[in-house]
Amino acid sequence: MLSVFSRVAWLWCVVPLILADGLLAADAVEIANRIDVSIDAKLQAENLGAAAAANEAEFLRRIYLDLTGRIPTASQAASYLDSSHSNKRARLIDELLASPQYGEHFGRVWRDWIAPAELPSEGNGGNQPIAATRKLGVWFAEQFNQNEPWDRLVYSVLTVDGELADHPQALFYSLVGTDTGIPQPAGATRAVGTLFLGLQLQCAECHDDPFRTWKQSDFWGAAAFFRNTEATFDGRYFASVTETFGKETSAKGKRSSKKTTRNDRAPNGSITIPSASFTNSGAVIAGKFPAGAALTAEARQPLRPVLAEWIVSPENPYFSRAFVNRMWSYFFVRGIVNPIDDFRPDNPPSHPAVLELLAAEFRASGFDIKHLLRGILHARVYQRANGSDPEADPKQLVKQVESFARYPLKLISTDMLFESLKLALEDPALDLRTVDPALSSKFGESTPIGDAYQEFRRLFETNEDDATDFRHGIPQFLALMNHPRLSGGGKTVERLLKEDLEPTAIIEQLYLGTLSRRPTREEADEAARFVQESAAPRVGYNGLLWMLINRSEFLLIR
Amino acid sequence: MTKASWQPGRRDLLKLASAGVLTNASVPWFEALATDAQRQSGRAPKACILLWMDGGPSQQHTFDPKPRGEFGAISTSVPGIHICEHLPQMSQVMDEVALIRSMSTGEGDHYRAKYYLHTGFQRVGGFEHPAIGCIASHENGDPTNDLPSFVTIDAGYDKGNGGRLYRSVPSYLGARHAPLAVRHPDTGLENQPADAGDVELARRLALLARGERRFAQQYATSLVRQKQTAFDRAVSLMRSDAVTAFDVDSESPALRAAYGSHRFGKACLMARRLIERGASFIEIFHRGWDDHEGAAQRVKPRMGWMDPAMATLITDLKSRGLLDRTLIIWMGEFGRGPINGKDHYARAWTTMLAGAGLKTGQVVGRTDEKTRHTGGTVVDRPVSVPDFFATICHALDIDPAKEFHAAGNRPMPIVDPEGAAITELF
Repeated sequence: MLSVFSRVAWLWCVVPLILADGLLAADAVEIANRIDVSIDAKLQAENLGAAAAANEAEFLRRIYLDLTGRIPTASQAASYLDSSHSNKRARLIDELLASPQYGEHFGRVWRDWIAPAELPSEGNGGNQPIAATRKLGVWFAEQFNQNEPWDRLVYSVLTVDGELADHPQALFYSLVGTDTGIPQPAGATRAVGTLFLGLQLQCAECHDDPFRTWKQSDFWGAAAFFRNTEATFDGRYFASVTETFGKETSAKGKRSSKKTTRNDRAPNGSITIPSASFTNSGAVIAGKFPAGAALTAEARQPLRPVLAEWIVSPENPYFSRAFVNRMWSYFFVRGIVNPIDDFRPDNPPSHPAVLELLAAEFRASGFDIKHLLRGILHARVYQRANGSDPEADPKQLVKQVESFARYPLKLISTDMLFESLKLALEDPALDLRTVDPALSSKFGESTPIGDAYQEFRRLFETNEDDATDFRHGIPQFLALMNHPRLSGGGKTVERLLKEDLEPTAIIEQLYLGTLSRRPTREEADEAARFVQESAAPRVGYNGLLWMLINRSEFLLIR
Repeated sequence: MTKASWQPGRRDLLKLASAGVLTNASVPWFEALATDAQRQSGRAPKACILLWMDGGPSQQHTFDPKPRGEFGAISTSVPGIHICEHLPQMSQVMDEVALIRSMSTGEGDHYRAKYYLHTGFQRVGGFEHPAIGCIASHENGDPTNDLPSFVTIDAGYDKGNGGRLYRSVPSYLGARHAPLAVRHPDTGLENQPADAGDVELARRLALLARGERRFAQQYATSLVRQKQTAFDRAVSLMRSDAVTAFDVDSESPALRAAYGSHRFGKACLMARRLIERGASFIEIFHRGWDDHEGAAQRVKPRMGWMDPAMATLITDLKSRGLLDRTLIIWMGEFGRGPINGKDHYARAWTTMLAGAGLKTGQVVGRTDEKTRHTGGTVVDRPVSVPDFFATICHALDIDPAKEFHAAGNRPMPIVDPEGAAITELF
C-alpha cells in the first residue's frame, strides 16, 4: 500500500508530511495546549490580539449547542453556573460527549451533509425522502454515540451491500447518484471526494480541471471503483446497494426504474466515460486511486472494498485531514483549509501545524472522534469570547475571527432552534403546522406537510455550510412573533406560576431557560416593571418569554 | 401604486428611517439602499405572474387545437388565431396574448421537467439552481418595500397525479429571495397577529427593542444587523397596510365574480393586488393536470374557472395600467401527447405569454397538421428552455448573461448562454 501513497507526497510539499505516526495519542489538555501554542504564535507574528476568554455563561450555551444541538434547560444552566468545581469546563465537555444528544445531534449534522435538506421538494417524497434520510441520521447517531472509530464507520458506509431497512447507510449510494441524471459512479466519486477526502474531483468529471491538477482521467479513474455498484431507490422507503458485474439484479421496490445499472463493456477495473459527460465520452479509462496508483482488478472482483481500504488507511494523507478540517470548520465556521473540500497544493492550509497535529493525533488514537473533539474543545481557541466593545474596529474583529483569535458569532441551525424552542417552552411536541393535519389529505386542500419536524424545517431552513449566513426573513419572524404556539408562553410559564415563586425568581428562571444566563440588573428591573405593568402576572411572563425567544441572543451562538 | 416605483418619495424615506423597530434608530443599510434607489431612473421594474399548471396541461385541449382534435376551435379577437372552444373569454383578449406553440424541451419526467422549467437548467446532483421567481426578486425586487417580492399562492388541485410539487429555492441568491408561501387565497398571509395595533404586542416589541439595542452594541456584527433588519421588515409588514394585499374580500363583488369563486380566480385577484403593491413575482400553482386517462374529460371542467380568471386578470391589469409592466406566463412542465393528451409530451407543446409590452396578438412557432399523430412535431421555430428563459428575462428587463457566484466561487449565468430570446416578441 505504501507505494500508492508515495506518489501523492507531492501534494504535501507545503507541509511536513507525517506518515509514520510515531506519536501515541496525547491527552486532551496536551493537544489543546499544542493547538493554542501554534495559533497564538501566528497571532503574535501577525500582531493580532486575541479576544478574552468566554465567560461561563457563554461557554455553557455555546458548548451545549455545538455538541448536543440544543440549549441547556434552566436547571442545567443554573447547576453549571453555580458549580464551584475548578475543572467544570472539562467536566461539562465530558458529560456532553457522553450524552445521547451528542450522537443525535451529529447524526443529524452528517445526515444533512450527505443529503442536504432540499426543502422545497420534501413535501411529497421523491429522491429526498424524509423517512429514509432520518433513518440515515439515526444510524449515524448510533455510531457517534458508540464512538465508532471514523475509519470503521466510513468503511462501513463505502462497502455497504444490502437494503435500507437493515443497512441505513445504503442510502448514501442511493442519494449521491440516483435520479439526478448523473451516473452512479460519478455521483459516488464526487461525494466520496468531498465528504471523506477533502478533494473536489467534480470539475474533472467533464473536462480536465483548469484550477486543479485533476485530469478527467483522474475523475473517471476513481469512478471506476463504483462501476459495478447498483443503487436502487424508489424515492421513498426502499433503497438498496449491491455489486452487479454487468448482470442486472432484480430489485424489489415499487418503482425500480431509478436503478443506476450501467452496462459497461469495458473490463472490470476500468470504466467507459458516459455520453452525458460532454468530452471524451466513450473513452475507456483505467481505474486509478485518486492521485495515486493504478488499480489492477480481476474479473468480477468487488472494487469498493479495495477503494475503501485505501481511503481509510492511516497512510492516506487525505482521510484524517479531511475529517479534522471539517470538524474544525463546524466549530469555527472556517476550516484550516477552505473550502473545506478543496485540499490541493495551490490552496495551502492557514495553520498547517494545527492541521498536522490534529490529523496525526486522530490517526494515532485510532480515529477516535471524541478524543479529537475533546482536544479542540479544551483549547483556549474554542473558549474565546466574541462580544466586543462598541468602539472596536469592525475590520479587526473580522480578521480576528478568521484567524481564530475570536469565536465566530453563529446562527443556530434549524435543528438547534427546534430543540431549543421545545426546551424553552417546555413543549416537547411543538408543532407549528397551521393547517390542521387531520384535514390535509395527501393531495387535499392544503399542501400536505408530513409532520411537525418537517414543517419546522420548511419554515426555518438555515445554511448548513455557513452558520454566519443569516437566512431568516419575514415568514420566519412572523411565525416566531405571532404563532400561537410560540407566543403564548408555553407550559413553562404555567409551571412557574404553579410553583409559587417570587417574581425575581420567575424572571431568572425564564432567562436561564432561554438565554442560559441570569438577567443583568438592568434586565431584571426592566422585566419586573414589565410584569408589574401587565394586566395579569401570566400576561407579563408570557410577554417576557416571548421577548426572550425573539432576542438575537436566542437565535445565535455566542 | 405608490410602492411600485423604485423611486421612493420623501414620505417613503421618512417611513424607512423610522422602520428601525428594534434599533429605534436609522438603519444605515436601509438608507444606503434608499439613496441608491433614488439614483435609479424612474422606470418601475417589471413584474411577473406565473400561472403554473402542475402535471403538464394538454396543448391541444387549450391553446393549440387541431382540426381532428377532441375539442373544437373558435376564432379569436386576432384574425387567423384559433384556440380551443372552451376558452371563450380568452378568445376575446387574444390581442393581448402571445402563444408559443413550439416549445421543445425534451424532458418528460415530471420533477426534472418542473425543475427545468422553473430554473432554466437541467437538474444535476449536488447543485441547486435558483428559481426564476427568486431571480426576479433579486433583480427586480424593491428591498425597501414592506412586501416580500416573491409570493407563491396554492390554487388547489383536482386530482393527485403529477408527482411532487417543485418549490422555488433561492440557492446562492440568499433567503431574502425565498418565496412567501400563501397556502390558500382564503387564509392569505399566515402568522399575522390578530391585531397588529394590539397594545400588548407593542409593549412586547418595546421591551424586545431595549434588549436588542444593547446586544447590537456589544455584538456589532453583520449577523446581528441582518437579524434585526429582517425582524424589522416582518414588523413593518405586519403593521403596514401592505398586508391588505393578501385580502381579496375588499374588492368589489362584481370584480370578484368576474375572477370567479374558484381558488384559482381568487389567487389571480390576489396576484394583481400584490403586483399593485410592488411585488415582483407571483407564482400561482394548480395541481392535477397529469391527465393520463385522457385530457378531454378532465380539461373541460377546468376551463370553466381558468378561462374567466385568466381573461379577467389580463383586462383588470390593463384597466389599471399595469399590464405593460406585468408579464403573465401560463404553462406546465411539459405538454401532452397528440390528440387524446394521455402521455407526457415535451417535444412539441404550448406556453402562453401576455403583457410586459410584448408584441402580442401573435403565435410563435407551429406544430404539424399531419393526419396521424397530429401536432406531435414542431415544424417551425423550436423554442428550447434556455430560449424561453432568455425571453422571460428579456421581457422582465433582466440581463440573462449576468453572472452570480455559486458555492466554490463558481460563476453561474442567470440563463444558459445557449438560449436566445424570441426576437419576434420584442
